[in-house]
Amino acid sequence: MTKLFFRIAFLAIHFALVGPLGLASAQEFSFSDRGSRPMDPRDAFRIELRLVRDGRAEIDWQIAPGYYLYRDQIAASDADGRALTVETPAGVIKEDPNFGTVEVYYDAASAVLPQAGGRVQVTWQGCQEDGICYAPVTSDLDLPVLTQPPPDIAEPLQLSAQDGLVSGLAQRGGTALVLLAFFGFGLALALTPCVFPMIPILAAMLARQGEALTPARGALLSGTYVLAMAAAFGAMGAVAGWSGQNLQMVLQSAWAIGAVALLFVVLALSSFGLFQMQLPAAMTARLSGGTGRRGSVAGAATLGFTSALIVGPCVTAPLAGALLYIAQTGDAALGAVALIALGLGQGAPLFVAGTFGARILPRAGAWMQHARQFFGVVFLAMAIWLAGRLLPGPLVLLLWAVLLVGCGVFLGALDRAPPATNARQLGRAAGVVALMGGAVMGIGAALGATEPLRPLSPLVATSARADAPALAFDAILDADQLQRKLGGADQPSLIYVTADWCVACKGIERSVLPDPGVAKALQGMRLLKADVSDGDDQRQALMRKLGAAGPPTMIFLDANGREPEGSRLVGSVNAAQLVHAANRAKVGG
Amino acid sequence: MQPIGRRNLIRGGLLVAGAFATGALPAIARDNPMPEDLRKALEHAPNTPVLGNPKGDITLTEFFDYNCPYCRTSVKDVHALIAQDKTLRVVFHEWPVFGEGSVFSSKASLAALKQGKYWQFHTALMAIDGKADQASATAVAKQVGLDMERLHADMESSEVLSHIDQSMLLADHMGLTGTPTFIAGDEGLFGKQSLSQLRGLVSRGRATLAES
Repeated sequence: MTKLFFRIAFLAIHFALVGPLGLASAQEFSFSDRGSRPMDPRDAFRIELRLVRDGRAEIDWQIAPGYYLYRDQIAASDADGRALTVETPAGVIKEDPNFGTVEVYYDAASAVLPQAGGRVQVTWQGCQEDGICYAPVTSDLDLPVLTQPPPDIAEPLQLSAQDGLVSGLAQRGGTALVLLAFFGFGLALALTPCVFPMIPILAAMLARQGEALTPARGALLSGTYVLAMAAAFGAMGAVAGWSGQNLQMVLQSAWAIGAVALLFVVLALSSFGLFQMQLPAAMTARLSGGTGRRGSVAGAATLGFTSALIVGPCVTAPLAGALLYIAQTGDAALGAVALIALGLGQGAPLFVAGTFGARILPRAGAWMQHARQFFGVVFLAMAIWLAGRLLPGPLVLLLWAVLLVGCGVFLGALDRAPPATNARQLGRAAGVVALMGGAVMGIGAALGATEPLRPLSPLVATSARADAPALAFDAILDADQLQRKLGGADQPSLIYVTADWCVACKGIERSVLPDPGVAKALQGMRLLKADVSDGDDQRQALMRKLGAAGPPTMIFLDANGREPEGSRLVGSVNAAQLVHAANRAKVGG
Repeated sequence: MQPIGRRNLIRGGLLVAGAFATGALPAIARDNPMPEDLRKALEHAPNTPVLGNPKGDITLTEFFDYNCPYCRTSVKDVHALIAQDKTLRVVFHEWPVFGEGSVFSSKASLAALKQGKYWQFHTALMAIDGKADQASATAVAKQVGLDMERLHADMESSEVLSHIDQSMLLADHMGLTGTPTFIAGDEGLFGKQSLSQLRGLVSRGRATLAES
């Protein structure tokens, strides 16, 4: 192909097809040449085989100025078309207004094929900045034939059995032991981040009752809330048995999250006294037998159900055990009742707190009004926190800023009159702090910051990165990619299943992964991250391949791709557990 | 998975050949004219989305991919051109070069053509944030009100598959290297173009065709 002219040269197949029809198409045509043209892709990206030793091939690209190569589009296959492992260094993060973050290389790129021989095809793809995006280009490389055949990469992943929890309990003590054990697991989980989002929701719900909050009413509402939560856990089991999917993940859709965020906004406005929440009379009569403040029982049930599924979806070891048991045995009934017991266990402390909290608190007084308003703010905060899963980071930060500034103003930060009481003075001090915090967040949002706790990070980003280098996880999007990344090199691996809506994952990423001991233990391991925020078919297939019920799950593989039995970590973990599991993978069991 | 099989390539080749057969007219007035059989295959192949004025006096052909960032930024200029030039005919060739997500999107888009909603689907999918893939294309299809059952069936129909095969063959034979590529008259422009560059291409195309 010439560089300047795009030519029509009808190929043999066309002569074969066209010839008998008597067409005059074999004549040549070239586009008339106007303006500057992008370079031929093989000139824009000059590929070169730099070094081949012991089956390891190193490839370089020289990239012309104004052109870039996509990291995730570099691939290689052997003569039989089997995908080969390709190792590439981290690229430059390019923010594309349409596609978000992509990783690219400018000027030069390199790739290593750790185990390749014979005829190898390398495919890559790139673009001209603000110009053209090339179709993938494939180059043939002739490498020395490998003296020993490459390891069989057909199944580089050998997972250990994960279904032992429920079946083991059932064998030892029948259904009763399963239920008791899962209730116990639930109690043990009651103080983990999985339950944290439920505490303010329940507290706010009770505070909305105002003076009507008696111990009996507290018990009724928190009991309803907990029962609905347990029912949601049971529904998860039923759905897993029916469709093999984790309901929590299915419900992380924009519609569901948006609807619940809106529900919280409505609850907040009602808490501020803008209107009285009232369900249609017929519905409330059916829901609660037509007694007392009826709407709130239905509200408690709705909040309990959505809390478990949408607000704070949380995968824990027992939950994963039960879901995998259902997936592998098809016994949805036992799995679902185990999950209901788990939900009741997790909710039991909430029920106790709801009942006794109502007994301890004074009945009436101005504080009730303040409590309602405070929890109105809590509802708004929950709405923003949920919306954070849908909206761009800076916009969410702006919402936090608006909330804080609003609180500051209502707490009297801008009032001129001297405060009447010490309490008011304290309130005004808090208001000033909120106002300032909101202002800083607003500035951060304008700078494009995304983290509410680090609103000015764009100003200090470079130095912060230099201080704490993050662990370099390679993203895997589907089962094929997992297979490719694992194939070939003999290296222990960690596969971390995470999602941006996963509360426990945030804790792991904030305080466990940055731990120096963890970094040391993970040295020399292949680190792969499966982000399943988007629970589409590809991600579901990937999770099935990994035998994972949801995030957070950490799967450790030894150098042979085998998962040491009992090394898997599901749910919240601490640094010691992670180090122990990593070491087991490194020593091969 | 190899999205375009050999069988489909051959079928596409046959279609190109058929189009050539029906349009084999000599064109000799210009120095370097595009053969009429090629023009026929490019601008009048069956199952190809046609926008603007279907009876226009000049055809602008675009080769594009739903995951090509510069194809997305070109959408508004192509829209503007269609709005301004009432005798312009625009033909789209779906050329999915960005892997499986692009192939799925193209198939869905051409299946939308069979339900008369190509334009709505194309515009909405080009406007999304993030990659065009099975999930996003399906969401857009639902959003624009396509009959999903029919869409899935049509996506595997020979008309849809042969359009993609034909686009690939045409791109290969013309030596196109990427997307977006715009063609009018005997001229091609490669990569993102401004509205005035596109307008220039169309007016030169008109002048060229008037010569013959």
